Amino acid sequence: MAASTTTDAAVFAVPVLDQWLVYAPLNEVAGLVNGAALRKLSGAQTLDGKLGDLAESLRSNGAAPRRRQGVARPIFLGLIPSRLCNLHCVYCNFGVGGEAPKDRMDPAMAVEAVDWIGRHAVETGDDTLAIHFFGGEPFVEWDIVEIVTHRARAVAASLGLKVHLEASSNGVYPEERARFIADHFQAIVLSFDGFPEVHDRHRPHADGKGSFPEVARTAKIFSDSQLELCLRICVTEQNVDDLPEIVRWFCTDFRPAYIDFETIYETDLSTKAGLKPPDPLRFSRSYLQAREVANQFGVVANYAADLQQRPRNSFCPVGQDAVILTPDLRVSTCYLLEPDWQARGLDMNLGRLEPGRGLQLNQEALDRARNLPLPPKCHRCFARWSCAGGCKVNHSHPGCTDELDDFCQQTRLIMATTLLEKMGQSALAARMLDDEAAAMALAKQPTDVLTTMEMRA
Amino acid sequence: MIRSAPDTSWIVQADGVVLVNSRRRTAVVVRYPEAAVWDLLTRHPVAEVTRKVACIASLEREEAERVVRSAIDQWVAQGFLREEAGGG
Repeated sequence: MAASTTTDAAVFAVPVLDQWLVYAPLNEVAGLVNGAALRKLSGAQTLDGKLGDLAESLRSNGAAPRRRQGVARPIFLGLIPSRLCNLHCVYCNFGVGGEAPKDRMDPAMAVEAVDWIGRHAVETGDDTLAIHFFGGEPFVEWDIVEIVTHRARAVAASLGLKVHLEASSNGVYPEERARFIADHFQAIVLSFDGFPEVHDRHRPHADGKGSFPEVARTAKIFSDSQLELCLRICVTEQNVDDLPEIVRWFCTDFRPAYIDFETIYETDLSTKAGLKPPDPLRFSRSYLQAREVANQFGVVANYAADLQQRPRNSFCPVGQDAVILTPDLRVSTCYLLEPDWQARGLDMNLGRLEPGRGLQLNQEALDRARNLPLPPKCHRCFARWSCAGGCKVNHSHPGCTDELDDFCQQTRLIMATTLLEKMGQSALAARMLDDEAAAMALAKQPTDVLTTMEMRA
Repeated sequence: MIRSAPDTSWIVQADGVVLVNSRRRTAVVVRYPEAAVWDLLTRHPVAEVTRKVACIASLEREEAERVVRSAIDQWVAQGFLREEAGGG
């Protein structure tokens, strides 16, 4: 049966054991039907009764999320004080002796960027001056962190703006610095891969010593503060089965608002370190159990590509006008290393910081970032408006495979489970996940588009 | 050497810092740029504080020195800081 591979479908259907989950993401409508009902829904005839009501709800015209247009309205100013890092995580090329550039941002330039985002927030009617530090490890460049923090707070106060300071961090620094961060930042994403044995294997110092004790101490300090703490777990084959117990421990010993789960991207470094991404079904089962544990503690477990409150075009800063200043004063919309996205045929640069003139953004580059195309497989997938293709550099880049890879499969399993749970069908979702054949039928279905999909009796 | 007085505590707020002296039962609200001076003095010698404040507040070095010195004198007089012999 011929499938349309590039147009957006309004209604999707995925198999759940002997039933079908039909879903119209832009209408935020989902239903559960049998094969006979699905055949009727896929046809053009007028339907009566409950099935008719469902058909009408599914087919009404929900609006796709609007892509940004016109002048930039950044969701935040990203600052990369340097690409250096004080750890030597075995899956990351930023660390000690890694391939990342060694230059550092000039503090005066960082201040100029802060002033620019403050002025820009006022001009565009935003009420918050938002800055997000990335690295390497941003808190290695402590001089810039202190200067930017105080400059941002001073500028926000003078302009009548709220201030939001956030950072993605490894948590390895002296207690005194952790206390400064706890006092002055609003949110921290802290990389913490779980119990000591795996965390230390994943995230050692350059001398091979584990970083667990420092990270646990920092997490405690953050837990005792006002800041919104997100603990981020990099999931590999090594820790995938421990996720529920890790979450129970995190929620008992610390005070996270969120726990993020990211499966490792397979790279030369990760392979060399003997680390592999988890099997997608194993990850989905473990993550969903971990999510239940987190829910019991009132903590939000988050898998970034899962169902969102609203349909979206992007699952990361790319396309959302984030302006991220690199140490060499380029402005990019992606915080990954330039060679990484160049290798994918992408150009994520938006402009430059020009001393005395602030951030100079190129409108054409901004529009390009807002309109990066999705690969064909995404247009056939029911998770298209939630996952939105995942990482544009590592997953849905130009020329990426049209196969549903591990990331696609786990996203589809998690997304379907989330939808079913919202429909009060948790037991059905659990049965589907327990049945490997059924789970794989859902995870690997080549197209979910209702009108073109292969029918199953 | 400059240290906070033993009875001094402080609370970081969105637009500055509140200094509290529990023995004297006094409190003052400190706004920027002096709020940065207070925070930085808890971790750095005066010369380093001055360099950073110059950058934070876009001041010439002499003006930054004046801001830092004035703030220190005021907080010593108010009992929030102690200035002791030796060191920065």
